[in-house]
Amino acid sequence: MMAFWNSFLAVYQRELRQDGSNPLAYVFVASFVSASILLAFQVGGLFEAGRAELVAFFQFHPWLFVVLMPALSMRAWSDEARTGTLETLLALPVPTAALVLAKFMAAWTLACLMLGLTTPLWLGISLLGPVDQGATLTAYLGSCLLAGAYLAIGMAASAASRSQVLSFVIALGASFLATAAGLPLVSSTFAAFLPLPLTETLASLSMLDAFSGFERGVIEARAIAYFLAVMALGLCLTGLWVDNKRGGPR
Amino acid sequence: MLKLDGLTKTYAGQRGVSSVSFEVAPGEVVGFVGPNGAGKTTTLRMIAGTLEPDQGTVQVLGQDVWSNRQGAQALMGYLPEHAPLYDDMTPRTYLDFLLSARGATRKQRPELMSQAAMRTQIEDVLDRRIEGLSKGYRRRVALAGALAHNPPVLILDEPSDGLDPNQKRVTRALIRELSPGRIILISTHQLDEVVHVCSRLILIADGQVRADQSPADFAAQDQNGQIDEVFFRLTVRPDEAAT
Repeated sequence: MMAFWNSFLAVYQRELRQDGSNPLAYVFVASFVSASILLAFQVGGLFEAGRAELVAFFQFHPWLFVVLMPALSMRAWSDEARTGTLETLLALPVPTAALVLAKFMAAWTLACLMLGLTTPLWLGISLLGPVDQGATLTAYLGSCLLAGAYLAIGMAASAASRSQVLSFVIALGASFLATAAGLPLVSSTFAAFLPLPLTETLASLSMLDAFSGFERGVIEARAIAYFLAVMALGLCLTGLWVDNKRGGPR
Repeated sequence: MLKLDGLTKTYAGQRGVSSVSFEVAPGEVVGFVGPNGAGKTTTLRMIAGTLEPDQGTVQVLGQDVWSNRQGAQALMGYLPEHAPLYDDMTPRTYLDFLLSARGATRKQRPELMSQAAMRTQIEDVLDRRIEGLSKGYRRRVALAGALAHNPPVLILDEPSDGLDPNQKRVTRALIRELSPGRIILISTHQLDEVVHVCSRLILIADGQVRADQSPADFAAQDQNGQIDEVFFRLTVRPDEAAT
């Protein structure tokens, strides 16, 4: 167990240091912060609503994450395979689960830090009127879980391919499907050729559906279980693909 | 003892390595030679636990690599082909990363790191980004990574590739210095390296072991004692022989 945590910490710290020294990580964080605030004001009508609440800010997170989380995770494994450093990692006496978890947690930490940088907006709105602090905190929690779920999908895509671009495209496609399945337009399209119960099940498996409760400030056990299940599935697939690299040519 | 028994690996229907078996005892430095594509790297990767064999077993000091992978990998230092490194790190942070991932304590790490840096002569570049290092330094940083934790078994895939003659000399001296009590397996194209460093030569061609003897006995198969002539005779394909 000690060996697991030693290796987990070593890889986790290395990944965070790599992000810290990578200018792209700063561009990525700045893009999210500016885009999320801009969308909240320009498209969500944060001021026009006349209420001190941040629903207009959080409602765009799923769509921003669909693009940004695959971008954040695409390098994680594909770059290791491309440069050959995966061989160094696989030669360490380290469980695959520790490698997978460490890389995921480092990316998730960066995503949570990125969300943390938007809290001045929360403080600013609080100065304008009484904000439901509990609901906002819940929405932030939901947003963190949502980011984790998208990242897990991105990690699996990154482990599946040596090409960063291909990893990004796969993750983008999978994330978009997992999000758009909850839109009425998509549900009605599915309903045209799928049985109603199946259409309803697909819609209920959407990221949007799971996130909607958090947006309103409601913590639902079902939604937490959903996000954790998506993360577990993504990380299990990542582990399988990483282990699979021991079975064939690089 | 490093023990390979019937190691076989097939790639997309083509045989990469076929029933490779040999044993290496502590104190032996074995040169693993063969033409390009003979199966050297495939064999070394199966020993290092980064490529699973289709058949056969590898035992490292009694630990089976594929049923107790982590236990066996803890006993090995592995220098992969092309010496891959993290360009965004410095040699110091790279070695610290490898040692901490291997479970070395915060107290042990500086001592192990400076010992490895001294042995591979990279002390003067310890705090420079790997990205800006010459090919020779990069190779030595990777070598330092393989031996930093003082493993009893060293698996080195072309350790002196890309080094200038002086650096090769230093690396060969280092391998000789490390050899007492250790198992060292070196894959190389350079037959002079085998003569200078190795106590034993294993020749692999088309995925099969073709010779396993001392470099002197190997060279003695040619009237003039030319080791490259023997290598040519044992590995040449009919189409190559015609040219």
